[in-house]
Amino acid sequence: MSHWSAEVTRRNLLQTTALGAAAAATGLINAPALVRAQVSPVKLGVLHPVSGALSYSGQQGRLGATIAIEEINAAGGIKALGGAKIEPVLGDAQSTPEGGNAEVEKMNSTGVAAIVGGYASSICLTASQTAARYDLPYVVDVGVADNIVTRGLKNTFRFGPGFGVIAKTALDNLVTINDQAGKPAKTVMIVHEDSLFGSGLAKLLNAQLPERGFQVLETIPHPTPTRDFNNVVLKIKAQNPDLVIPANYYNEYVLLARTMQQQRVRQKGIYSVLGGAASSYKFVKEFPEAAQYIMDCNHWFDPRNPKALALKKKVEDRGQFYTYEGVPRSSRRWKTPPSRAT
Amino acid sequence: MLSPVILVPAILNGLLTGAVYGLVALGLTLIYGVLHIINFAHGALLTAAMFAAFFAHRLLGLDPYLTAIVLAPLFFALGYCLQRFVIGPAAHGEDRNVLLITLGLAVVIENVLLYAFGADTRTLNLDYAFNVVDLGIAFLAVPRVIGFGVVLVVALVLWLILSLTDTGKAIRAVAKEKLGAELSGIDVGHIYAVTFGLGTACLAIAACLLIPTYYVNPHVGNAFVLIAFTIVVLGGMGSVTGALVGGLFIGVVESLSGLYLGESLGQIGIFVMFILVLLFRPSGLFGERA
Repeated sequence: MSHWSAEVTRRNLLQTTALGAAAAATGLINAPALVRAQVSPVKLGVLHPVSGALSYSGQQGRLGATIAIEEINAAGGIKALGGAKIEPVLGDAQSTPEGGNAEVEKMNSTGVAAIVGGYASSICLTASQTAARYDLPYVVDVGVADNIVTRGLKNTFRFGPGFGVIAKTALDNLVTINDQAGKPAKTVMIVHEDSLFGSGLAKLLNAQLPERGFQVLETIPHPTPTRDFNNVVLKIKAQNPDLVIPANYYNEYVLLARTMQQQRVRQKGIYSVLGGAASSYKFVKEFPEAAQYIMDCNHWFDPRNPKALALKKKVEDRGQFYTYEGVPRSSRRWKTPPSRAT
Repeated sequence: MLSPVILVPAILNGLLTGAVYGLVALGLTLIYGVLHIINFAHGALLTAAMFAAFFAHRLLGLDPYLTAIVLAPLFFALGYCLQRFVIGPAAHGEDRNVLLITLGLAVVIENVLLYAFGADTRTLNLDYAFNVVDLGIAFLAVPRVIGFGVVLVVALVLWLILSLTDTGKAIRAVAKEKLGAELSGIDVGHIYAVTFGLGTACLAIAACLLIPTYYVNPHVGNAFVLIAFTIVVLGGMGSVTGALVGGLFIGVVESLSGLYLGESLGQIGIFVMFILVLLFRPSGLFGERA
């Protein structure tokens, strides 16, 4: 099986990084600033859940955004604005939609030209709505729920596909893999977190899996954070599905995989769609045994793109893992690769 | 869904978790039984103890179970001082003042923790956290089994202190008849503070038992203290045995309702129990009838 069998055509909306995109949006909307002051810096709201249940992913997202801003500034700033530098205004959504809203209000009062980030779908959904009230451009970094960009908000942009496209791609590839292996997998259990991201995705999967010949035995929701997956794993044990599809954030994904390992529950595979941890080097490095037999369909960088590799090295030189939260959109690909080799 | 393959592990897990709930409730019920006050700062003190256990491991490399040995006397002293120098003097002998003071303490402690450490949810990664004891029919997490054992030992020690030592006798005397105890020459202020200290020390041990498998953030204690209130009501206000048995029972209720109603609704079972107990046996299982 090819390592990169499931490459979705990238959108050619912008060949710059997500932050470049944000900057471009800034440039468009903030055109009068060009007349007023040629080189006054452009304030950009950088919103992430850097504390609370999603803090790891939020910090990774913030790292990605700040590196992008550093690079843009080092390369001479925003050219269309006479080399104006980007000045990040960092915000902490505290892993809740209300926290995200409060930060948007605060950022608006400090005079940002646009906001980028959000990470979680539920945060992106409400933060972009609040930003719309002030006519502030909002660029979603990860938030994959489709309705974030299909509500008709003119201020909200996203430079990656939503979970509709991702789920479809992931399941098409699942069928391909399963067929080639002689159809060993027939039954599925879905474990999802119960906010906008997880429940929305579970709904899509529940609709699309039967169409492709899979039987969904049970769909189990859980809150974020959850610190005990024993009951969930016991249910999996009792039903013994061929595949488990988790759709949750980093901590819960790791805990679920580790609890399955602990309770010696082994399915034919864990196939996740946008699994919060499965595509993270951190998870694979820290818990290699729990990460066995996991495949994931997620945001990923292009390993043939020298720019992406340079960025990966830069992040690793800072002692961090290069994870999907911080991957710039232009060097992104879609993968259905094993996080451990098949 | 009722196959023993999942039912037995769920019940056993519930018992193991319930033991730690029981320990938190033990502290609460002890303080209620003697001082006749509801300690609203119980949850916040548990949170503080969990932070202490967390940072003892993070900064000093101390294993949580070793930390318990250090932390229990420290928290005993903290509880003693809180009652002796803050709650006691500020209450002016009025119970409703005590409610407000402990509530105020809870707000202060939680917000100091929030200010110092942020809203982050932190977890420890211990090597043995995911080790299991294989019982054939169930795999039990090693930290929970240890927790269960420690709770039983602590309860036994507490029972011995209360029934055999002079201080224990004094505590029971004050609980039964404060005025009589005072007339017999017992220093009630001191006994109050000792009891508060014992209750707080229970929290320190519970925190050390929780931290290997649970997370800590500035509000984590509230989740436990709500459950602990339910247990105290279920077991009977002021009853040490009631707290332990109630804890085990509530642990199983939580585990089973989590299994059958789903993780998001799992706690409903606990509060349904709470309402049922209040309706049909308001004095609790081991409480004296009013």
